[in-house]
Amino acid sequence: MRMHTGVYWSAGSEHAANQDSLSLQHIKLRKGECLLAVVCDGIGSLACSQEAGALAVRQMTDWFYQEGKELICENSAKEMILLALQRQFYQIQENLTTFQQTQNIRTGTTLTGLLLVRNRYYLMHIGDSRIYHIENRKNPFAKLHVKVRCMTTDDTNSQGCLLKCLGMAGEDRVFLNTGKIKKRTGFLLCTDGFCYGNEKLRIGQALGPVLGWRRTGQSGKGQNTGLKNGVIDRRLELLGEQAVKCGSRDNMAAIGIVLE
Amino acid sequence: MRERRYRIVRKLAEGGSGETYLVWDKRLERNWVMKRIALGEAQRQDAALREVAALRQIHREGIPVLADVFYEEAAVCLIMEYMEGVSLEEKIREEGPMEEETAVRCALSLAELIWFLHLPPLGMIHGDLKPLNLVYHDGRIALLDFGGAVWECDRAGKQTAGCCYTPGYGAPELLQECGVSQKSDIYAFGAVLFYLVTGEQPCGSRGIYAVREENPFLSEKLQEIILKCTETDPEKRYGSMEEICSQLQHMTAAHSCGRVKRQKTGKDKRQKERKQETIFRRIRSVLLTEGKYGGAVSGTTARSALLLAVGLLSFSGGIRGVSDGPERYDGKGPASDGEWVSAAQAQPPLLPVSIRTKEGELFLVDFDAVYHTDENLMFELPVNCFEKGREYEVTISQSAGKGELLRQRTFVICAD
Repeated sequence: MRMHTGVYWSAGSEHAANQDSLSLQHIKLRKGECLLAVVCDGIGSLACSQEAGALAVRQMTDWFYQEGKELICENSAKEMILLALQRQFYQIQENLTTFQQTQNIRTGTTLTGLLLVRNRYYLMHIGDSRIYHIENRKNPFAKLHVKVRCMTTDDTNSQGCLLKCLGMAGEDRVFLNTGKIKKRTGFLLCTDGFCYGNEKLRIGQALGPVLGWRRTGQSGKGQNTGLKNGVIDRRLELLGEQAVKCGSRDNMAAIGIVLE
Repeated sequence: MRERRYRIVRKLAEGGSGETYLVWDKRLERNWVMKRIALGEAQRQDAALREVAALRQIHREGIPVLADVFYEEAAVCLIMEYMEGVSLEEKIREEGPMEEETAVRCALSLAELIWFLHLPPLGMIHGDLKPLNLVYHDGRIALLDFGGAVWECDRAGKQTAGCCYTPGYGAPELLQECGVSQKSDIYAFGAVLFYLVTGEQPCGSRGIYAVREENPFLSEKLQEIILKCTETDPEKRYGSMEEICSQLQHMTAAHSCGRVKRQKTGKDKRQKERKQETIFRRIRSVLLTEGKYGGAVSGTTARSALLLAVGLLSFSGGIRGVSDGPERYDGKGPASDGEWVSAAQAQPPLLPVSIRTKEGELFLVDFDAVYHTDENLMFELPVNCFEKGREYEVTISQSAGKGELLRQRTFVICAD
């Protein structure tokens, strides 16, 4: 299954620094393509929150190139991969605790990651960043042709205060999940600043049409709708601009993935 | 539809030769495949007639049985056996290239089918062998689409009439209007085998290459079969499919006895296993963060060298630096300018180097990883490594593996 990706990273309209971090690692192994996407949103009210996000994305990236890649090459069972992800989460938690102790500060970050291997996804999530699954509806008479579903839990209370994160107390548990992926579907990982207002409608409008496209450059109707490099990046940029127009002032990080 | 006997269940495919549907036979209560070929063009009509003529003669496992033929709205409809499985193209695209043992078993199954067609009394040449026309099911291959079939006895007059040329799978002589022959089927067979083990289309930028260059795990015998089948000169190819079947049977038997030697020595085996583990192609690697903290480097996280794209830097002729990935500055490097004054230090600190693509994306250089990249890369050094008023000589060398130096360039930097 071919995967096409795009990233968007912006400090937003009011911040000088971006406390969001992201990592996208897309490689081709002998058995096919696989991909790791991680977004982290540093908690702005705490000190050095961009450092917490940086640590999380770097250590997840390290994990992917060392343990993750090997697990994938060995055709490991899905339970093994989930366990390895959980172990890595606790490793990051531990490193973050050490960092807080040595620096005598309190810091924290959300972490939302997606690992795509062949026809399966692995999801890890803590905090209020999100993963949306985008697919075309089977019913052609539906008002919206695209179905956008949030795959992650929102770990906030009714006032919008974050209840769970990586760092801080160091005892929160990560949400792990796995499932099958289908062709011509898409995923969007983003921090809360990026999904603002009526985000599902906007995401569906921006990324929905791309789902049927192929890299070859021709759609079935003969239109030139090739999924060339940069198409998803540009669509994410548009989504980011729309979020700002809707009133988002927060940092933004997003990764879009379309499966051909 | 004819006496309303067949009900369309779903569309299976649409190609140059027509549309294919899965249909339900109400009378026999079973599924068939219906191939609907519009008769507008003479070439299509010819292909339909060829397919009917071919299928009515063949009764063999792996080739669909022709059950019925009828005309409907200026189209001829062929009702054929439904072959369980997925097209070989889809299978490889979804699951990647096959292991040698599986590929050889599939190839043998296909080679036997082609040999059966070539043998008298049929004496038939398929003429359009390609992964899209092959169905894979449980290690066996089924052959479809006989619209390009030509008979040996018929070749003199109709060589080019029924010729289907698929780039990559069509033999080069077909472009010179030499007509299809058993040799052109052999060429296409070699191209299909190449696709099975590499997952790359033979019409790609590199064409058909020696497969062991990319995957040293494949045996020399397999490479030899692919290269001999796909020789440009038809005379240099195998004489018949029988020879290929015999070679593949030997390989299958050897595989089942575990006799196919993939590596010659224990050292080679270790090296090749290691290479297989780490080979991957980077498609995109982005890491965006404003944080500098990389976490405690411990255990397997610590990295010290690279296999490829090693940026070896020298400072005042003595201090070495090793690229350790983007911003992987683990505290061993220059915390302040003062640490960088002595060229005679016994254990010089590492010089942190970031590698970026021309778009500015950080290039994650992984320890012991083999990368394939056509991009121009940028090496980025932190400004605080350079002391004002001094001259620095920076040498960047690229080596493949541990010893072989590919290229080297030295720059003189004046830090003003």
